[in-house]
Amino acid sequence: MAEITFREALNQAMAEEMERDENIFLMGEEVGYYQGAYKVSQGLMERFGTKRVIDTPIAELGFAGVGIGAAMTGLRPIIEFMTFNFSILALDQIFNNAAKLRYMSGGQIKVPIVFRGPGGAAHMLGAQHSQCLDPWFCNVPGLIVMSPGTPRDGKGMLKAALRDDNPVIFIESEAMYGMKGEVPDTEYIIPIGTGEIKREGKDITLIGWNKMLHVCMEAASLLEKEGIDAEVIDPRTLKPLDEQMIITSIEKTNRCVVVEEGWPYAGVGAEIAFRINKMAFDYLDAPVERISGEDIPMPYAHNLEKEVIPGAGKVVNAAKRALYID
Amino acid sequence: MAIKMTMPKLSDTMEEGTIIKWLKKEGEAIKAGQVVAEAESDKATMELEAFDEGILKKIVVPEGGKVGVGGLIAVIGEEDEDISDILEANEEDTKPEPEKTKETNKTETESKAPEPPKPAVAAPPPTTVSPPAKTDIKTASDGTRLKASPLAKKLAGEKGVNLRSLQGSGTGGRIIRRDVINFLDKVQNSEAAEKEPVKVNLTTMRDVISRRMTLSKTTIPHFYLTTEVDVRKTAEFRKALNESQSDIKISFNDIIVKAVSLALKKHKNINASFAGDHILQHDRIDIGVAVTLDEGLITPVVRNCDQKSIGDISKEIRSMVKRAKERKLVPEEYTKATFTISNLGMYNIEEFSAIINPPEAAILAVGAVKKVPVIEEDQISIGQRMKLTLSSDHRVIDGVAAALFMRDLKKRIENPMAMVL
Amino acid sequence: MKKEKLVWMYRMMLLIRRFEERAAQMYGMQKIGGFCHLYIGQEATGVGTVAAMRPEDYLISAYRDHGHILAKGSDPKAVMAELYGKGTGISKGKGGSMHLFDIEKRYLGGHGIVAGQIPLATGVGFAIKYREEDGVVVVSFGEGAVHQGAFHESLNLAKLWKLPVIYLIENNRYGMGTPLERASAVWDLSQKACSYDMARDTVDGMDVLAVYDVMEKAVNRARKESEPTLIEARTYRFRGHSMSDPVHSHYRTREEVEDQKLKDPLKGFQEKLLKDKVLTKEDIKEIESETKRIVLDSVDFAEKSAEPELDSRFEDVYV
Repeated sequence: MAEITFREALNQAMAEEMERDENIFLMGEEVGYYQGAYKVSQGLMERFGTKRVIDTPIAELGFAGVGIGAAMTGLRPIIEFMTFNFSILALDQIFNNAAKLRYMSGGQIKVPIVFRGPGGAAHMLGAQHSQCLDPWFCNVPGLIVMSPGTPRDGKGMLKAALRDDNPVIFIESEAMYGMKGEVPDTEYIIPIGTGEIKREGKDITLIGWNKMLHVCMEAASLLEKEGIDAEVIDPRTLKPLDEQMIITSIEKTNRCVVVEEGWPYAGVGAEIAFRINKMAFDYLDAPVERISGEDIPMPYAHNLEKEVIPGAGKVVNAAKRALYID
Repeated sequence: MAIKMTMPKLSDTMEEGTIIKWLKKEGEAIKAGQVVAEAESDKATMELEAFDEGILKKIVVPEGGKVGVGGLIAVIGEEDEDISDILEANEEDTKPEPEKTKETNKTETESKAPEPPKPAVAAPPPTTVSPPAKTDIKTASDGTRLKASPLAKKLAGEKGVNLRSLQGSGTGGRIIRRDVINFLDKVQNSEAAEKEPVKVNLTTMRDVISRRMTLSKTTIPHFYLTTEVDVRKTAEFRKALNESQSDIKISFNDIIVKAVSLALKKHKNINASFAGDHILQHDRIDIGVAVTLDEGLITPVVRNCDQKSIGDISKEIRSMVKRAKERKLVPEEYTKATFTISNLGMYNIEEFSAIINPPEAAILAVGAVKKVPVIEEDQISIGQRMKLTLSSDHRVIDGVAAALFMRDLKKRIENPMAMVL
Repeated sequence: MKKEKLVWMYRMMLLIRRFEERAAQMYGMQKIGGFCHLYIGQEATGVGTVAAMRPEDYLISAYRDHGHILAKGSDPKAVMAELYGKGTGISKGKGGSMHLFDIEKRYLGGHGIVAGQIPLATGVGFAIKYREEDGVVVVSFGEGAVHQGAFHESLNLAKLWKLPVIYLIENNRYGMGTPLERASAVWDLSQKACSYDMARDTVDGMDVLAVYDVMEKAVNRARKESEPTLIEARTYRFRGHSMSDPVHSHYRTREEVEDQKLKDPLKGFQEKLLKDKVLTKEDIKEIESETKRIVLDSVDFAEKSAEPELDSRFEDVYV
């Protein structure tokens, strides 16, 4: 197994799938000549030409709609948002068209498209560039939402997304593009809707995805020093959710902390907590704890930003509450 | 219009009551002033009167059921009046347990209309040993919410553990898995050696005693003074009194009550109560006399003892003791004493220290009359002695003040003739 | 032009007119619910456009879409059943009046968000070019849509990438109740193309042959040169914006509507066909009764069809 960066893993996924299926193309701002704002598409234009790696003007609504129109007539676009903050300009196309065309047409239309790019906070980018919009997309029926936390998952999940016939929102992280991890040399696919136990444990379940997976892993290490054996699970696909994996874990540990980067109100973590309450109620020994970003726009200053984004300390404290340890 | 019949406050310390018996059935006509039920307060069994005329439409709390003071026990109304809104409102107030979550539906989006809440089920009549019944897991027998994690409830249900017998170690006293596990471990360990103790549920009275005594002993700084009283003359005095009248039977205790009342009249600082930032000294001298009942004790109060003769005091105490044992005392008869006397002499207890009955500032513990050898003018003779122990609230009474009171009391008991002068 | 094509145009305009009249009646009888936007008065624009297209070319439009899907050749029965919300509807009862789709006929839908379909059409043009096909796509929208960013972003991309897309503004003068004059700084709408150096044209949308001519040029430009065109067709709706909007009210007078009706595209075309001896009075009569039968059959079909199965609501959300 080779150790490669997250961006390389995503790049490999796109390259391999574009090689396999010529209906796949990549479109977005700076994806071609510039080699990608975060260099995720590095080398793809040279390899596949400007026909299949297409630079767009700054017109998110327009090129998102172009992608959907192309998808509904048989192509398989990858639409890159430089960051998901800019996808807000394209939400009409994503919500009203990508998500609904199949339904409104009574199943006549397929929209095999992947909208990908980094979501959430990077570092000191301020309120408009540091938003975790996971719950927005998860709330709309017709969309699939995926958010990988490791290079290996990123590659296997993106390949699955590119082979699916539904619109997929694929949320990466600026902060993780440089993160290295082992990626299998042979081809593999991580199916949509499958989570993974990232660390086995018996005392408490920590649920986190994207950057928060790593916060949970750090929290698990801290808890281990205190003799607490935490299980960390990554749902990887936020919609549809791997409920079975979560419930099985809760049945074992009887306690849970859900960690998400986004805002607290009506967040994905709230939904997961509800499902645990509903499906694993009789296995709970404590209320499900939840850690989220704080309910404020992201401040710029380093120290303030650090407070807003969930950290391992907050997760450890929540875990102790769930374990009735003061 | 429908009338709500609620649990009245039957004593100063009463927080909830138990319906012992319904004298009327649902559908029966009721007149204002008629007794419709008997209820047990923490002190006594009381008759509940209807204040309004009408039909007993609905008995909300059945026999054996408990409800807090002010809680709905029945609804009186007209023949065909609809009282469902009153009952519904009551259900909401009493907050029944939500329905247990059933099997998960495949589609999460599906949301069912909420089912109407089930009528509040009154707890079954208290039994001495409660089986691990399902209802017991859900609601405490006194109607308060039992806090336990879902897992603990499930585990307890499976293992037949009565959650009421557990102490929760989770947040806010929540019973969690480890509490059930620890309990099961304990039971397992003790099963080999001894049988599980029989669990006896607290009666309302027992519950009140436990709380009030704990409050007293943990918040009042008690101190104790014991003195020995020569009761030779007192015994003679008593004998003379009892022989002079055939319809009277004076006890030592009656004499002590009188003596205490006179001593209190002189030592107003003892006949007092602590009231936070000040002390209340009472003019009235109302002495409570502790009476033992099967399920606890009660203290009927003899009012204005200083103004009553020993004979009157004696008759009054006798009558009240009788009615206390029949649970017929009304609240005015057992509340608002200014001083209490507890006598265990008849059980041959030499001396003991009593716990103050708040808000009173002192209590007198009376021991048995003993024949003891006494030395007077170098001669050994047979004397009669009795020990008195005063428990005092140090916030109100200092040592010397208590000692002076005791010295005065001792003198009065030892020279009983002065009491009738 | 061949006689068959002229007769097809006439038949189709009449079918749309009669279909819409019946839809209005059924709406009044509460057989049809929701929003219902009628195409009466604008038939020449839609029919002239489709007449210039090949069957494999794509058409996509806004929510005033009954006329477009019928012109593209869809079964009136399935369309009426969709308006009724029946399981036999063209969108299985999940779309309704504003969301008619017929992929087989290459009709990519009625769309409810103003201008939302314009980027989609641009994407369809992108796909045609990507696959090196010789198809074209026509996207129809009202003059109200030209003020949306989606319109401008699409025109820029289509010209930038040279896509075979024809942007057809069906200017019926009112965006709901707001006349163009109160909504737009420019009243000659094809001028919007100038910003993008795009080919443009303006046509009398009440004249089906004029629409056909202009559209044919644009279609050829798209097919042969892969160049987009912006066309403004000036037309008029004889009915209100939707069923809840009266024919004439605060925003337009009875006189204005009556005046416009003198230019009824159906009547004018009929007179021309009679004058040119393409059709006889007997032919007209026969076409009329045949059309009536088709429309009544569609109503009968919709009436008799079952509502969708309840469980079907969970289908077609995902592939």
